[in-house]
Amino acid sequence: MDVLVVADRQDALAGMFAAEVRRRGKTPVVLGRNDAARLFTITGEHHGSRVAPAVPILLRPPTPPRPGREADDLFLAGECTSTLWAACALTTAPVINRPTDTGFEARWSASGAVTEQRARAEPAPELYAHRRTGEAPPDARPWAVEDSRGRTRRWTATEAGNGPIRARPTLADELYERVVVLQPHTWCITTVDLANFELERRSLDIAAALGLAFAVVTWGVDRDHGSVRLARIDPYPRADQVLPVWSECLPALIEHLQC
Amino acid sequence: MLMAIGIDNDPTLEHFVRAASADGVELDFLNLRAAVDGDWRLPLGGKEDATFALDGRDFVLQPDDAIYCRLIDLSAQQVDRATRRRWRALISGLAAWLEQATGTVVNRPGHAADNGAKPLHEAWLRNAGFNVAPTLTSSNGVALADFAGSGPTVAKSVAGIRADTRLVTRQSFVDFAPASGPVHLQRRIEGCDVRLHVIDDDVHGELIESDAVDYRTAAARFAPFEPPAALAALVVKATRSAGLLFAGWDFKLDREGRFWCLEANPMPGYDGYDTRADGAISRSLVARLTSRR
Repeated sequence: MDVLVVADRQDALAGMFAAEVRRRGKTPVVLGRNDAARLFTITGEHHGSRVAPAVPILLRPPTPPRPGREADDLFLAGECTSTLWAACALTTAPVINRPTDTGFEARWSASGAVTEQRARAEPAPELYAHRRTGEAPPDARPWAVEDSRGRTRRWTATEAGNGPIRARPTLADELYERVVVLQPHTWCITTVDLANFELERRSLDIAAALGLAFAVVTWGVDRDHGSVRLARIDPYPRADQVLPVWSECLPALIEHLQC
Repeated sequence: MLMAIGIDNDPTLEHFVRAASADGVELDFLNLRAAVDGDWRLPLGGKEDATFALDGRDFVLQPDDAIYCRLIDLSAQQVDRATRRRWRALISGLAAWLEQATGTVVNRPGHAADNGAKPLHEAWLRNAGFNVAPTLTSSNGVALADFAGSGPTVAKSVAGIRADTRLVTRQSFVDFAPASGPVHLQRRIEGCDVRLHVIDDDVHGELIESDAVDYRTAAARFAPFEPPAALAALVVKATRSAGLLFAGWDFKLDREGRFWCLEANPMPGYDGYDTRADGAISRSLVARLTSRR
């Protein structure tokens, strides 16, 4: 095994990465979180910790939980996640993205405002809310709203009140620029000249502050390119997000993981 | 006004509310089991109040409030999908709001998460200068049997849940199936248990003598305990460096007088220790929360 890819079977980026590693004559092993965790032995002694095998690791998002799991399954899944977290944080081998004592996704948080604060970026408002009679946008700004199933849309009217929401303000009719970060490289997805906003440098700094070697930083840009806002930070870049720069990103990913 | 946030059937939170109220402290309690069925609004990034409507009353959290919180997510216990989602959203939103709050929060979310990954937590303890007994985390039956066969050994949860500690031997891993792993083993330290509760610079100690592997599962004898100054200074420093105002530290004290650190709990269930200490831990906690430092 030359590299361990911890991923769901449906993960397209993991599949593309593994195929390229294989094409180069190396052996990738793709496993889900539980099986991956069971590969490792972590020894803790007075002078430090050792993780075996010391294999490069590409960590991808977990498989969505299956509903109705038994308590024992949930317990074992928790034990596996904790072991994988510790193994990836403590191993001497390269890991993308290496977990830390703050979290499995390093300093990234599911809350955009908290992530921005941790990244020392200008924090924008964020609203978590649940109102049985429905919730209206907080002010006249355009807002994007995410429901409890993770579906995002423009927030134009009072929400029906059938579930909790998370919302953030956006720019009117905004466009998007994505910056793929793979420390120390960056790639913009579009060719629009936004150089005066220094999006690549800012994205690199944000990812570094969050402890993320590999991330996609999405910026909202207004129609006349007069202002930008930090829209989201993805600690698990998706294939569709990186595809336009994949030919450059892939060799860098392989180099970073030394596989 | 002091705020307490958590669930009404959590004995530690119940104890805190009772102790603080008995001391004459003005306190309000946000019961998450009621809040999850009500309305809530948690704005972040602008130092705005969080508001809740539950049980026919409105509840306001201000960003500079002093808050004692024990966020317990009951989503996994919910059968109804919509209720499960409301629990997740409420806990996520509250954790984010509390991380950004400007007042004193015990303990502010976003710190000491490594307690949920024991090998990582133990590495942190070693780096912080504590003695930690050798450990092995593995799904490899041979490695587990070798470790358990090399000396007295206890098994614990890797994630720190269902945390009763039990004695294991080489025999425990005969025909071990990797699918039942991983298992976290630690060399057993024989001796007394010591529990230290740290609140800022205050350290409250208790010595526990028990014949059981895990004193929480059997009869035990308890006595107040004054830790050596060097150990007290070390736990105070480490608690602060973890970003915590309150932590429960577990040690074994061996027959040679050495302290072996088992863990630093960032959400300590301290009620039993406090009852035996005549409320001293709660008084330190309330004093810290109301000091506005």
